[in-house]
Amino acid sequence: MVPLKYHWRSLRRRWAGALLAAAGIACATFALCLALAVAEGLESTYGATGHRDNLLILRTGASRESQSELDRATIDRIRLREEVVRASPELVLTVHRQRRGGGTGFLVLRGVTPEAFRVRDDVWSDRALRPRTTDALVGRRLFDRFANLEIGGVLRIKGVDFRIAGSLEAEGQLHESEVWVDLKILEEEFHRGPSSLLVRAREPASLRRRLEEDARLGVQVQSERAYYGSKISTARAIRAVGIFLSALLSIGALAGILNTMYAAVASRIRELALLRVLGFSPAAIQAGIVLESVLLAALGGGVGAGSLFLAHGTSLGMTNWSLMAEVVFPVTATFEVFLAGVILSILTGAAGGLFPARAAIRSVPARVLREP
Amino acid sequence: MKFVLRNALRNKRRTLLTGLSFALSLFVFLSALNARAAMDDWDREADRHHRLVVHHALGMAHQLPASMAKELRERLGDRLEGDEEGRPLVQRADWLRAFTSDPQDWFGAVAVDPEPLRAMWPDLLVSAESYAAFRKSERAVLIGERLWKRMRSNGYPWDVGRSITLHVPVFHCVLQDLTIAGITRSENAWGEEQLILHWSYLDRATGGKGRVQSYWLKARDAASLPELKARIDAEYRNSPFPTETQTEREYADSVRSMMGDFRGGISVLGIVISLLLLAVAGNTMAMTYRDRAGEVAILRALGFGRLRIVALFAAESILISLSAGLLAVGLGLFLYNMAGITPEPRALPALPVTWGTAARVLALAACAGLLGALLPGWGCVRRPIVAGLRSAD
Repeated sequence: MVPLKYHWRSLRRRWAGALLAAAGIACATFALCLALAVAEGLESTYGATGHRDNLLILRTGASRESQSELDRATIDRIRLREEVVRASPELVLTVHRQRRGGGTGFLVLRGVTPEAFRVRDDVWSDRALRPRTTDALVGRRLFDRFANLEIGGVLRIKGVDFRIAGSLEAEGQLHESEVWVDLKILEEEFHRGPSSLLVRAREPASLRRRLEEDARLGVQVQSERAYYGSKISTARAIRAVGIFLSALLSIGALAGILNTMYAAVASRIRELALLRVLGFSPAAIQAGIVLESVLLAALGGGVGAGSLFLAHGTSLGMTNWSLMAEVVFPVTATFEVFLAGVILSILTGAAGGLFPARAAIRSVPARVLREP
Repeated sequence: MKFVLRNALRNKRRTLLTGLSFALSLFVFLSALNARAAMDDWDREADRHHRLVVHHALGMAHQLPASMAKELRERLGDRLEGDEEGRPLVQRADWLRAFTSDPQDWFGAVAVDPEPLRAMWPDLLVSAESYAAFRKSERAVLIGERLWKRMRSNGYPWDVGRSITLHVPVFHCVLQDLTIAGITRSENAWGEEQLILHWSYLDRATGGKGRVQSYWLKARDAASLPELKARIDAEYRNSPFPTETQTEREYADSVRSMMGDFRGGISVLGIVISLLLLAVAGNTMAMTYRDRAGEVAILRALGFGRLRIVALFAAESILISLSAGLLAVGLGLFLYNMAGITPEPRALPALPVTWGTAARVLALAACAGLLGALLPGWGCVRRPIVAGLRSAD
């Protein structure tokens, strides 16, 4: 195996070309990691939402909470069953609102009772939502997203001035993109009953079966996790498009690496011939060239993936059309994202070294050494 | 010129690789520009037809009463454009998602009042017979050409005269025995992705609640738009159904802003691609300069000015990059304009390459080629001539 130092030094000798080739790889890697981090941010927001033992109950045929409406009798019939540990009737509505920085979006209002905090484990606020008041709790991620949402400010919805009393924290769940207010006040203002019932059950699977079998109820029951999980088709699409585009860009960057390596090999044809004469096998020399190329690419990939940390945590907003709601989520650069980027760059590097390596071996040593 | 061309072909492999790299990256850039243009497509003609849309002040998720149509006609009739029979143009419209059998094959549909359709939407091209057939029966529907072609290629037997069933999840109802009255074409791609049905039929099928998502109005001229907006909103501000009226352009803007940060993402992608192109171009040219350092020295010894030498290299670089750009544009024209390929027709109906897009792509190609030659060239031509001659090994 040709000593590593040799390869490192030859890279350094042609440092300008190496740098530029690495820069190309860095760009392609950055594109991939960005797409993956965005998809990851979306998925972790939806994936984190919901408790394992919670069931979300909507009217039959509704595809989202804001489309559903349940009557009091049905709610009471379900709520008072013995398998139900906790139950929270809620009213979900979306209103069109001005975004900070221009444009509009769908703001999600959730009318709740104190039960809403008890049926969910990770949702809490610095101020309690006093029942029957016009207090509002604004999800932590919404403050910078919509206009006029500061603590102490007033949110005017229809005829009611909601006073923003505090912020809602939910460990990264979707609820951090919602505004919670009192259920009764919302019901009265919009002349509607609750849209959904969220229950914590001792045995969720069997309760679900029993509720669905009772045709009189006219409800559909699903696990809370499954409900939110079904709303993220966009994340998959982003990942797919991201991978496709960065594959194309990688091929572009590959050409840069190929050029660099071919030139590197061409200028060192005598050195390589010398190595052969010294006794290094063709395979070792080839491996060495591929290694050089991989080192180069890994450097670029590291920079490209690493620069994603600059973007990590940036808040992005999107309208989720299947929920008709604005979702705010952070760009999430996880270790897997970083790894994917590095792997892409290494693969590109390997491909970029393969052909020049073969070309290097094909030159006949003796003839080259004889040249002046 | 010949000199430049011959030089470019001296190291064929390098030129080819550079060109390929450029072409691919420029194609991605082209696609990104197209995606953004498709999102903004509505904007293009939004002012032309002086249309207004009225919806609930709280957003499209909340509905207005159907009776508002009559009130709007009576109160604003004189300021509105009229149809063939002279009635003021006011049209109910409910936008929905629908599917026929497979929920995954959903598409956009709009339930409207049929009478004002042609006059309100002159950009919708429908034949006289189709339109008459549509108006005659409450169960008739019109289908946009793109949607029609796509569904047929997916195996749905959609022919004119056939009956189809429509599932509308948002209202949990199924509309049976709808007849296809005709195919529509449109001046903008979105129009060809819709199925148009009668609002009255949808209303009856959903229990006659008499609620509608929005009203479209056509004003006589652009000047009356602001006044109409103000009047309508003032009229209903204190009623149980406060309205928000927008011009078509404002409405398109707000729909576009709901795309959120996607458009920003495309800009980021564009920057990344530009940097990649610059890196590749710079790399190639740096190697070229290095190879020809001896020749550069000779040229300088002969009296060629520094600028002229760099210009020669720049010309070579730009030749390669522009050729790649043309290749990318050609590929885009083939895929997008001729074959009409788009990754998600329901969100981005068409991605045609426009002159503007092609120009931008070629401009980026030329700039990257130029900068790629200038930056390394600066160092190269400043070296003393002797050093250059010596390094010609």
